[in-house]
Amino acid sequence: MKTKFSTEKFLNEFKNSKPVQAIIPLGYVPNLPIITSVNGQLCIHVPLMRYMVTGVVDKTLVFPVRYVFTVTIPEGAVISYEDLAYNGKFVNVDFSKPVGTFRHDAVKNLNKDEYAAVRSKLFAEYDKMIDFLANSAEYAETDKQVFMALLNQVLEPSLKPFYHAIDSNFAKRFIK
Amino acid sequence: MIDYEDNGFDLENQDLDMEENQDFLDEPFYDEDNQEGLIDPDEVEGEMSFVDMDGDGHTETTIVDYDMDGDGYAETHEVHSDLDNDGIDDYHAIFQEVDTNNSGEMDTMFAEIDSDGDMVPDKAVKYNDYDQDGVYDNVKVYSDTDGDEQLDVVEKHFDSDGDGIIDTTEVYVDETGDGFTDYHVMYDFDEETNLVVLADDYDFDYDDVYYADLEQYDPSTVSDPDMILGDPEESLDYWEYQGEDGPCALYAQMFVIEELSGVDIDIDDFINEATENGWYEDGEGTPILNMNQMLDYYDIDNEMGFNKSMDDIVECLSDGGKVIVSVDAAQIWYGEDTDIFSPMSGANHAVEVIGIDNSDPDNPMVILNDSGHPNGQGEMVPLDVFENAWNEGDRQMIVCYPS
Repeated sequence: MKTKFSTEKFLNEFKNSKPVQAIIPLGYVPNLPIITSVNGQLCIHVPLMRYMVTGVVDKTLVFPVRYVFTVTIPEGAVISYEDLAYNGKFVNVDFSKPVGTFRHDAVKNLNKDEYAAVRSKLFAEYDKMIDFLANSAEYAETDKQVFMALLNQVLEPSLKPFYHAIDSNFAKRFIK
Repeated sequence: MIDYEDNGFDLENQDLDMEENQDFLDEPFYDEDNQEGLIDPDEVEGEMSFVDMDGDGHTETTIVDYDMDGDGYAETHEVHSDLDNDGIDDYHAIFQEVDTNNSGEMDTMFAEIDSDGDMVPDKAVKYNDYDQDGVYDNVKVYSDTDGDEQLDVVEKHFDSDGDGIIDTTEVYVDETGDGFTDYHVMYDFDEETNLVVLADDYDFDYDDVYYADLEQYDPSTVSDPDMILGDPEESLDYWEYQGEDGPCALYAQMFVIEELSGVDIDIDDFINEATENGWYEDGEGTPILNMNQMLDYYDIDNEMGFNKSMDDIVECLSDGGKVIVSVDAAQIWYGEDTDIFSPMSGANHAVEVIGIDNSDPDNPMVILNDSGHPNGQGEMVPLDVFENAWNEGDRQMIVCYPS
């Protein structure tokens, strides 16, 4: 039986992986991954961006997505890395300025532990979709609806344009 | 900096005034059955004019001016445009000038616009000329962007610096329909150009960064020096505050270099050296594996490692060495506050560990020189809080000794 890929575990390990430590400035963390396919190989794009905790409730600053790693699933091998500051799609973006604040409305009622629980639920839905795509596991329309609901609850609205620009197929399908 | 109070904005809890403006939209000047609008031509006579607005030689726009209250001034204007010259109007609008303070001068104009020709209004616009100089000072555009006849986006165009010229636009989005901002739009994705584009020049107010009061190490209060590990008293002299977004990893290295080598370093020169060598990017920071490059540059004997323990820190300090670690600053500064956090934690800050205070064996404190906190000179952090914050950085540690 194939081992099920854990998105949450992968991201926690990836943030302290050697490629990240070697290239990415201190303070960047992975945000929600984008499931994609590269030449038929299941992959995820891992967007990295910064948050700045200001010490004021609901005013943690959200900065633009700056870096994107693409890794194969389930191996986790890095196949590409991009600094979006050098991508023409993002020529208008000032990466030094925040684009939004956290907590946004959809999660404003959640404290730290409750938010972490919702995020874990979303990662479990990522795992389910990846299992479907990698191993043809069962996947129902309701699974997709749950995934979308959680994704759109958790993803900071101010980052949605970046997700559209990074992978419009994923964004059009799942991001409202 | 935008003065939100002067502009009537509450950044945290922006009331979009949707209800009032939804009412405005729900009472249209015209409806689907009456393309001439609710202005009854039998009751009030308008003065009609025809204009070629787009300069293509066709008079595609009809403007009718009405004096609705009979005071001799035509304050209401109905506009119909056939923009594609197909004989069917595809833009309708009613503009109404109002003297809100009864000064005798019109100071506000309301507009209701059907911008797609479906006879259903999709925009309400409010123009204010507060100083009545004939130039609008503030324009608010309320839009129904998804065609559900509910306003969901507000654009505010205003004069942020008081020079009489509208210079700033803010966009507020209410997707949930509760009348309050869900988010501010700074960027949009333009599917036609495939570009992330600036939606407005909204800037954030950094002035309200709050720093928790943290205990600072005070050598004069130490009753038993044997309970203090390291030489924090001497290290305190090398601390400097980096500011809100300064290069923490460079400051931490500078503290250590100055203390171990006696060199007096100018931080600006130090940053330039790191930048020119590609070890630091202005405004972005330092990759973790570059956190000892300046130590090497200044010939400081050092070694970087990961998955280290408190015993490793104790050993280094006991041997007269200096320790730099990467931590999650939020956990150091804001501790266990369950309402202040970021979605994904991680190491985001470098500090120097200058000692450990074991005066209270049940509550040992780690002493830091933290350049990121205004009171970070000898910052005292409970051991368990420090360890949690250190875990986020994979327990990275740079031990430094004199060469």
